[in-house]
Amino acid sequence: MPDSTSPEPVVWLALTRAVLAELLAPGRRDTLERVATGLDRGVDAVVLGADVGTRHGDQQHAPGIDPSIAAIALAHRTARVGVVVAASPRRDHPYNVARRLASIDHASAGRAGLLVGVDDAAAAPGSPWTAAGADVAAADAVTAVRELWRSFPVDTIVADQDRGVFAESHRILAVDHTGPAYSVSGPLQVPWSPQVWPPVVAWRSTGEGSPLAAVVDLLLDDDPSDGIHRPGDVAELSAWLDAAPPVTGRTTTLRSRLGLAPARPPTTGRPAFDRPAEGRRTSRKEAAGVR
Amino acid sequence: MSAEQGHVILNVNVLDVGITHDAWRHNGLDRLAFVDTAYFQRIGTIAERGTLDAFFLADGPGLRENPRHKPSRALEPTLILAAVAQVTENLGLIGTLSSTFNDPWELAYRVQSLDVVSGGRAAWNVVTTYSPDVAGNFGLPGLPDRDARYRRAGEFVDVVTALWGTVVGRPDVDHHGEFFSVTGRLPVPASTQGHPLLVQAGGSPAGRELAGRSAHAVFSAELSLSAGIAHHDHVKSVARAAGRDPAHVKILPGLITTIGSTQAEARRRHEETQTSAPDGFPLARLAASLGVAADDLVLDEPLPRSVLDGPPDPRRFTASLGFRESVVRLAADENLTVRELLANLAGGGGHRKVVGTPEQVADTIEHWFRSGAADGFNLMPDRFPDGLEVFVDHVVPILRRRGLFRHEYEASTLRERLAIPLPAPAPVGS
Repeated sequence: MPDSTSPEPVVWLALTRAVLAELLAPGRRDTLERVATGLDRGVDAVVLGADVGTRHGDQQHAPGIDPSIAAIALAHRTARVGVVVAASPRRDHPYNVARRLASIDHASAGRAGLLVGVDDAAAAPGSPWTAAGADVAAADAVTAVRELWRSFPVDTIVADQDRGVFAESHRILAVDHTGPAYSVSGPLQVPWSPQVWPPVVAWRSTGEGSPLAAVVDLLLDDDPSDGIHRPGDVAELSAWLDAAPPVTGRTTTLRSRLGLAPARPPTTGRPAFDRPAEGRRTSRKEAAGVR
Repeated sequence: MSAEQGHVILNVNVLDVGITHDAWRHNGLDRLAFVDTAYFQRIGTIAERGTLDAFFLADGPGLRENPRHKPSRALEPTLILAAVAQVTENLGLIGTLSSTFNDPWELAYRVQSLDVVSGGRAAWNVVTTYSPDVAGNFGLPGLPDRDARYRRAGEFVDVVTALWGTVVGRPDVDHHGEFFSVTGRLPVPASTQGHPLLVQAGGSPAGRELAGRSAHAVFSAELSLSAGIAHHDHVKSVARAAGRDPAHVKILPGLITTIGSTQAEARRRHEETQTSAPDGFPLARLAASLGVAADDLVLDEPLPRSVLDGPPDPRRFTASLGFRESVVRLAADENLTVRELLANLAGGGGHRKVVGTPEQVADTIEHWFRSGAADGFNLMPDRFPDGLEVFVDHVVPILRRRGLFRHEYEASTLRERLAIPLPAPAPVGS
């Protein structure tokens, strides 16, 4: 068996929203448990919502399940596999995307990833949030999301009984992002998740040569001829998992599984809250949290 | 009696580790419990042990309150609920999502997905979000005014409802309105209950109209029984005027509980919280909810005339109109000084609070229910998990003995349990 110093190819799997709907239908708990076990054994990272933002594959828009809801259900039943959630920030605002991904990273102990889809063909067209072009918006969303993810350092939560201080909130940072597509003031209301910066990926067919490619951690092949395995239904998924050789490596974060160094985000920026003056009683404004 | 089968409806409003500002100092939980889905799953399991109707999550998409003194909602509600769904079978799952800071297609898709994976237990609590701090997260220079928010909310609810209708065989959406253009069908399966229920929170006049027209339940804020009855009757009459069966909109005020085995024990537990409040914290919160500066309030005098004489111009008032009305009404009805008002509110905003024995809590629930002020309550225990455990283990049995609450779940979908019919045509093969 190779040890951790010899890099193994990363085993990816991609599930459309329609396959997730079949997998998570009520009354199929035995199948779900078997698939969860198979994912932990034979897959490094599974894309949830493989039909979001790709120019290949399902254009039928068969009934599906939201990838972030599916991620929580799968994270609950697995301990090892990475769960990469597809989202299109033109419809799903970067603040909401950042918050849900941070939530999933907390719920999965650091196994979350984000696949940015430039657009979602199944959704109502256009964007309620930005007039910028789809490529520009996708890239700008990634920048905004990463800024949000670093804004609330988890070590600010001291829960100091003696002083009655729950969080040293003067170390929480505003985001003040003003990009070509989005303006986001921040901070994110979710403190740092285990990875702080979950991996951000995009499909090669939409990302290559675009502003998005310059900001993601990884491009994924979605060309059906040489791309990632994409089972058409749960029967095919189960058969593929049964035949898959076990992947090696310890239970760990998705970043490390993908060969990315641990995130070390800067902790500098404009404080979102005032520092309480030493030796002075808390002001009324500060105590009530009025900014 | 106001609900079918004579049963009171009981939801638990899981305000992270408890509604009191210092819950985190007393409950022995890990400091990161509020970002741990396993913690919320544990609370859901306790609620289901007590055969409660639903697990409710309030929300706003932003860090609205300085977390220096207490934790606040961090994780996204539909995802917390999806986690709770994994460890429960019957408990309803109600998530608050803002109609101002979401997209209707995306929201309809996600909440319908939650409904499918939970076996038909989901509901969406629609709020318009009254925190100006949130607007900046979405690139808006300020919060849209209340009229615009409620116009958008009304249209948003119409679009989401129409999209949900398509999953149970109703016609394609062809919507072109002031805020949204949406056509087609929502590509998500029907759930066991068809599609999610709709809950409304917010006590402004526009909010009550929205509730009467379209909601299946209302989470309201009431301090006095008389106001509770008046608002209950108002929403039911709006429903009737809209051609709906008034029984299909349930009125569920918030109820804050501090429970002890004796009244003295409950009072001690309550006072422990009162004396440890950070300096100025309750007064500043009260001032913020009234839309005035803390310096405008004098502890041993009544509320200023300008506040009592309201209502303020709703277009300029940025806090919650419903909370404001509830608080001002209590102060005026009982002629309270600011200090007395603070003691009555005790950090609870505009919600009714009971400090007492399990019998006394059950008495309040029964009294409000039989007086026609409430079809049930959104329970707000002072602290989790023990404040909920004591309710489940000591108040629920009393309500059962009095014939006011179920002994076991009679239906697993929220729709069946609240006796809300699915508009025709019925789902096929769900």
